[in-house]
Amino acid sequence: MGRYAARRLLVAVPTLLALSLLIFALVSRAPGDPAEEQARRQDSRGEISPERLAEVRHELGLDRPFVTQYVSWLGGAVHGDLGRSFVRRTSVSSEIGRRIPVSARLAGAAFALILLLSVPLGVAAAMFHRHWADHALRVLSLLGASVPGFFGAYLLIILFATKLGLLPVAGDEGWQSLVLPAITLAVGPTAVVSRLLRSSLLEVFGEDYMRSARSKGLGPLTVVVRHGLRNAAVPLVTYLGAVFGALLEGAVIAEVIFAWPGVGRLTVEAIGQRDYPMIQGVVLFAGAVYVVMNLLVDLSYGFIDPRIRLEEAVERS
Amino acid sequence: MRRKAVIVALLMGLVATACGSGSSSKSANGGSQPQRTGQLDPNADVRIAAPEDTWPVQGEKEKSTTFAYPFNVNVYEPLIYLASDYTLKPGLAERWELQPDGKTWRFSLRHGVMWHDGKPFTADDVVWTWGDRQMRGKTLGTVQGTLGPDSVKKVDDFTVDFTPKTVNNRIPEQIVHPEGAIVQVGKDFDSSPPVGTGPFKVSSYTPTQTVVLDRNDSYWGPKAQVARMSIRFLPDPQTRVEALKSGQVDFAVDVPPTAASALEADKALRVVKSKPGRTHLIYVNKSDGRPTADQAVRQAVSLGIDRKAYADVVFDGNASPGRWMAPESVLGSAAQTVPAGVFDPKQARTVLDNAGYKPGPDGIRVKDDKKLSLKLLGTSEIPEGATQFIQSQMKDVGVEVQIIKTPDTATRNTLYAQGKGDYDLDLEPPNQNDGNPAFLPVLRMSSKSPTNAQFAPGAAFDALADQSLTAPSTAQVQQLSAQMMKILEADTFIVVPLAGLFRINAMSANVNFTDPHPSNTNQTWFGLTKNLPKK
Repeated sequence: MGRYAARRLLVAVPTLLALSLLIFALVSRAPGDPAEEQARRQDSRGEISPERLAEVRHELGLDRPFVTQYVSWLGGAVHGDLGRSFVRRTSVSSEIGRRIPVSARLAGAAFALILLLSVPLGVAAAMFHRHWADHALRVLSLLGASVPGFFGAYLLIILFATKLGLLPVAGDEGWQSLVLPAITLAVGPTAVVSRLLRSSLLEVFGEDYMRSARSKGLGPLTVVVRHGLRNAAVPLVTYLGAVFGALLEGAVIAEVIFAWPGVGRLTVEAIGQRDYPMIQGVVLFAGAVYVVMNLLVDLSYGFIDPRIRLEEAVERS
Repeated sequence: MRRKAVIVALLMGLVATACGSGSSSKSANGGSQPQRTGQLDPNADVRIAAPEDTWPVQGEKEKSTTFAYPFNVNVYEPLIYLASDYTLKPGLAERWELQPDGKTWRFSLRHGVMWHDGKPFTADDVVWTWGDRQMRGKTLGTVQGTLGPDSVKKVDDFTVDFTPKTVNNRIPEQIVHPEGAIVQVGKDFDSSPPVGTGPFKVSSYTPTQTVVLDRNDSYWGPKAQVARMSIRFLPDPQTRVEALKSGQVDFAVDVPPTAASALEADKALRVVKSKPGRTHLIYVNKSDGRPTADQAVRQAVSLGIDRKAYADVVFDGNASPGRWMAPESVLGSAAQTVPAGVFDPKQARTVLDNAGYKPGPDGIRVKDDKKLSLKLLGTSEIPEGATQFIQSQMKDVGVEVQIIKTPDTATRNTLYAQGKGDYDLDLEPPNQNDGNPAFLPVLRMSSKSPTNAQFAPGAAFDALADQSLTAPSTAQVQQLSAQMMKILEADTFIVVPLAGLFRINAMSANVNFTDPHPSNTNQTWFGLTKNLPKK
């Protein structure tokens, strides 16, 4: 297992390197001249002379060859220094670092809700297969997956904040503020995860070990929880990994509607301001989150399903 | 059957009760009647929902506005205030006079003003603000270009002279902008803690989330009528509306026009609108090679747009039909000399017919085998409905319009700055944030700036623009600005004013706000009051 993890970690390094190069190249080649943007920010008096433009380009290091710029940026990134924001004049790393815990709180709450809701719903749908409860849950899932995030957010605000006055409309003021954005973010993935779980469970219900468990006299729920869930979990974990990555890197709509100061809003602000170092930083962060989540998901397979470890051992021998 | 009907009726009743259980109650006449609920509460804490706090992302130079609009002038004050009717009101300067040399403006400063940290305000602060600091690009761009290193001089502790490099008699009207507000010697707007002279002091600030402003009881002028403003930054306008309706805030700044009529109908709320300060305009690119280089096409565009319908459709009636490039108020009595735009689609068709543009099989006009197709730019600030409205009206006179959405101002600026100009119509929402009546026409249409090459009408306009800088009185500049607008709107059809937008604030019925400012950066909060709860 340790060797497997080490091998996956080694694979993650070139993936991140390739990602960093792609990000740097794309952002560097985006339309518009960052030096001109910066010169305009510093001095809005009128026309910018070619001399001033050259000066700013030099200050920003943009007059160096592409490879030199990339290597210098990468060197900094490896040491946790993603450069300075053109707009805020602060460290990109520290700004992203400041936002991560805020996004992580929301992502964690939403993820917990997804698990809390989707597992019982998926299990119920599978256990009551073709029963009215299954049909009702299918309709609910369809609704959950198809309602646009912003629409759901407004509905929740109107119901729980405006009409009932139970929760804050927006902001980051205590656990109550987490409820509505977390539900908004959880609705869609809950619908998908519960359907995925239902399908996986239905597949494993026909397996011999499930029949054996039932023949031992175990109750239906015990059979599902002890034997079914673990075997049905692999496709779910893959999807949940991607969901958690997406939640952590920022949920733009929810963060704007609920005034949640996370990474998503930072990304929007950076793009709007053409803050190139910040854009490179947040996109690299998003990429790194996905790589790490994929790695964790891959490693978790071995714990969930011992056959995966066995296959690996067979491969080695 | 009867039992079923009873159950259905009961259920419907329950739903109706649930829907009506919020704080809102609709009035039959749809009006927004203020409800007095008690006496003024001098110790009131007014909870305010404001738009996004852009201050942290404004950049180094723009840090010269403290905090997000509309709270800046309430902490740091300018020498002169811009009143909500666009007249000038004494601020930290009691009076200002043009000296006999015709170039120097002498400002007599107010005595007895204290900074929030207890230090006295003097001429040194003004010289710091407009001297060393402005030379580092820290103050107002419109004035900077005319000031040199020695332009601002202290005469005595309470007198300062501004002598620009070249004559700029618009200085008093320009320095009203909050970017030109005065800071203490050695400090900037982003110094922490913020120390201003204004009617409110910053008690706490969490960027992008909250700011708490407390009344400055040592203020030199009439004191604010509430003790505290607790501001939450809620970027989404609909969220601000819901925060108000839920009672979680007392005041929502800049509610969307589409929400205004529902809020006005709610007896528990009050809606206060300003006069127009922001306008919606089309700038027409008249560069060689563009279809709009032809005056007939520009005239047809102007004749083909119904400004009244634009205000009604796009802003739900919360705007006035466009007539002036700058807001009417800043032009004073000269505003009436600018001819109102005419909506006459029949005449537009005739103009195009006479210019050789004949309707093609799909209704779009053709000349020399080329379709009359125009590219319309709209930034992300422009509502979708606005560009679609223009597209539909132009189609009616046989002009095809392709909408090009620029995702951000930077993209649009790049397009302008690089002189690519691959567009014909540019729909923009400029704001009048200073008291110079000629500000907008000169900024966007003078041929002195190469970025205006697509529009600049030429020598006659430029002569008026030059005069507007040297004219000694505001009344004269109002006349000059009106003449410039006539050239742009009625003679050359380079500018098509579409609408003048109201700023809309909504609040609880026990809160009042008597002086809404048309400019989004000059709002003062002296007129904010809150009543004691009714016993």
